[in-house]
Amino acid sequence: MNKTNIFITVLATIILLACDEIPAGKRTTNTDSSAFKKPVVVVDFTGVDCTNCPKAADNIKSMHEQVGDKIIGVAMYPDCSFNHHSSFDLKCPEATEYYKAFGDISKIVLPSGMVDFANYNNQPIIDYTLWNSAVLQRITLDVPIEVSLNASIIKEGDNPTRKIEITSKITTKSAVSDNTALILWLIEDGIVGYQNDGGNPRNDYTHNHVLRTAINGLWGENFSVSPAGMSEKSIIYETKENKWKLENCSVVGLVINAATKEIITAGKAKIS
Amino acid sequence: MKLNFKVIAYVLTAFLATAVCKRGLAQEGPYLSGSIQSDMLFPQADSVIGTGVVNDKFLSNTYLNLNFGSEYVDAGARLELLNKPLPGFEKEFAGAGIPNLYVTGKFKNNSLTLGNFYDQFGSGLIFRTYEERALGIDNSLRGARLFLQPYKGIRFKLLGGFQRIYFNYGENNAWGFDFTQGAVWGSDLELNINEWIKYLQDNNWNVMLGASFVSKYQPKEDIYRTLTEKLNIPENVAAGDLRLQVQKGDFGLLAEYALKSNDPSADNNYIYKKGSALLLSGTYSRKGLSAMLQIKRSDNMGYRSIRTQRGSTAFINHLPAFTQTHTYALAALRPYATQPMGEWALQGSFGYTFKKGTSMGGKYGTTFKLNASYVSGLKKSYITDLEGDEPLISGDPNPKYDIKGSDGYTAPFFGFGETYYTDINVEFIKKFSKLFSLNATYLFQQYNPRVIVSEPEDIVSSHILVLEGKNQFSDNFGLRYELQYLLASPYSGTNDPTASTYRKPIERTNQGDWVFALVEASLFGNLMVFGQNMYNIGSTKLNYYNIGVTYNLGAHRLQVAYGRTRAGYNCSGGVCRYVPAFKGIQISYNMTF
Repeated sequence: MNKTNIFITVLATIILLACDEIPAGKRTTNTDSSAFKKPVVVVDFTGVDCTNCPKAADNIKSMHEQVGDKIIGVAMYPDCSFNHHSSFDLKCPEATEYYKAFGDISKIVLPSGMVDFANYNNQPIIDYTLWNSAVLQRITLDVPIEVSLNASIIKEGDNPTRKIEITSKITTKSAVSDNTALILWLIEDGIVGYQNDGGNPRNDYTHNHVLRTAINGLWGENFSVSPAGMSEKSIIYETKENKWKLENCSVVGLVINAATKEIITAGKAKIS
Repeated sequence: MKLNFKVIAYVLTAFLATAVCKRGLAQEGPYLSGSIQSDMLFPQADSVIGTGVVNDKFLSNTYLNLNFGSEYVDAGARLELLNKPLPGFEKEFAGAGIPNLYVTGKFKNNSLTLGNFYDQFGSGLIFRTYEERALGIDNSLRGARLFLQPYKGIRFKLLGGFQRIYFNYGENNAWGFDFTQGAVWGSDLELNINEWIKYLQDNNWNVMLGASFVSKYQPKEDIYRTLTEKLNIPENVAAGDLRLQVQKGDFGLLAEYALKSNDPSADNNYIYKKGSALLLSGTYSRKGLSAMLQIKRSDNMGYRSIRTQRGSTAFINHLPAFTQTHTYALAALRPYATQPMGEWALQGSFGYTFKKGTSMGGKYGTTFKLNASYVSGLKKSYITDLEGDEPLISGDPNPKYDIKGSDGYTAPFFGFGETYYTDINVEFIKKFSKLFSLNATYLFQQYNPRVIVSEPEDIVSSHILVLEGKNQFSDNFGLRYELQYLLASPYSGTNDPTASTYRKPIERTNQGDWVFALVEASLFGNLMVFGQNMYNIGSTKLNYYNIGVTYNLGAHRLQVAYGRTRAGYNCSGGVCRYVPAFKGIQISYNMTF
């Protein structure tokens, strides 16, 4: 083999090795869903004037369809240029504060979000295309605590009021220090209004799991359970916002590490 | 290299000492050169134009370059001070350090560079590293670059390294070698055939054949199509390029074709479709006449060293823009940004100078220029099946289902999608006397906000008229003035503030008609004073005024200005950066030696 042929052979080998062609049929590998253990909260920072945000919402919907209540999606509309639409407003102050707690709101890029308020690849707020990967890191964790909720509208006679009774039950397998807190969120489904959907302005878009307020404060209330066991607490919450349709609302309860703000576990209950 | 203030002070002192002492060095033999560029802003809040809350009192982008050159060795470094950068740069852009460092050994026509380097293969379809400070782009590779000219007519490059992404210095890499996770390497060969064939030489033919190959390596990462389907991500993504360039007398021809292997990324929603680009260009040029016609089709040619990256960073290649870059304010109001996911682009230009003494030329001659650009999307049909079966939804630019893992879409080669951008402009330049000359320009533009900037508006059409006059009264006094008017098509949305789709005027792409005026006086050969205002006659009725002074002294240039800048896009070569509205005192200082 002369020098030219050797050169061509080496060159062809290098070129072949420098390129990974993945044929159709070999582009995915299945993972085991039986390892999914704990509920995971996907916080979707979004905006009514954010053209790709409907794709992020579809991502949450798709995850929910696969694993049901193990995915709790919450859409937060922070005060930024994506949410300054004059006639349709889903902003809430808590959404802005949550974004500021983890990112620089002056350089906000949407759609983006967080999974369990935890870092993914050392980033707190991540692009929506990475949510699946971040969820899979969290959903397989075995945590020693569970939260279940019950929420119902208080009636006066036959008439519903704007008051909700919320009962939260926390069950632990081991003692929990007072560095743990419980946050209660009120979220609303089925809000029809404006959305920039891929560059098309729509006023018939349905916004779901929209954060309306943090019922017991931005970072909730600390609690401790000692020894392992169960604690139950009921509160009455009255909302002054008449435009919120309580029959479409749910309560989300998050157990967080009060120091890192990382969500340990969560639960959700529709208001009955 | 990560720096503290002591080190920065030492470097600055050494730099300034070098700049002062450089004059003492002989012009032959080793030489030192360098530059300082500092753009500063003292921002003020202005809620009317939407600056938002201003938290910082001082912002600046400062660059210091120092280069050493000699017969056999070149070396250089660049210090960047970007701790509080100007508005519009992402948070990762901030930092300070020496992100550019190199040494080059030279022998005859060959060279070897170690450190940071910039290069381009052909038109840049598969490889182009460059620096564009106004856009915050510096995608240099840090590694090695070998350039050989072993024989006449042969030029060979071999290069490889890690791409710069902001100031990505970690705890264990004080020298900044941990750039991206992966590496980029490539090779380029150009053969100037006319150097070997006597017939071509004797008949003034220049014929160049070129071939390039680039590959990027990035380790696999967990990216999922669904929670139970993990994508099999290719670690090595390669691209190749072939080109033929012919020049004969006044005629020139370029044909270039590039292909990229499967490259699932955030840009293309993790599809496995191959990328391709075709570029054809023909030119004719002689004294007093020039013509050019070029066509480009690109499809899924975004090529980055980080597959999850968004924005304008981490690109390995650069798709040339086929649109004219305008300097007149209203003509540049809505610039086009090249769409890496695919487009058809056509551009033609014609220039002619009517000779002096003719009826059209007059006493001093008249120049006429015509330029036309048209860009459209591809005619895409999206598919969802992972085996690439029949498309379920045809032509939907925003598919609702997840196409990750599939081939994404099909697009017939000669299929044209919706219009992205149109620009037709005519310019006359005429000198009427020794004291006075006039430029008159008319432009027609179409701009698709939905595609280019993801805004929910229909195509905006504009007719723009620009008149620019110059008076040179003496060597010490000259005047330049501009008057521009933009007539826009009606706004496609609603003006009813109670409607759910109502958008505030200041947020719209189409804000109606604009008028612009500028007066600039040149004094004593090195001082210039200017004042300008851009007024929106349409929906906002806002003034964007600016006044300033520029002073040049030898290698030094200082500009101080005050006024408002409208939110918009700063573009260069088809790459754009969004700049938010700002107001305040701007100072720019440049010095070279």
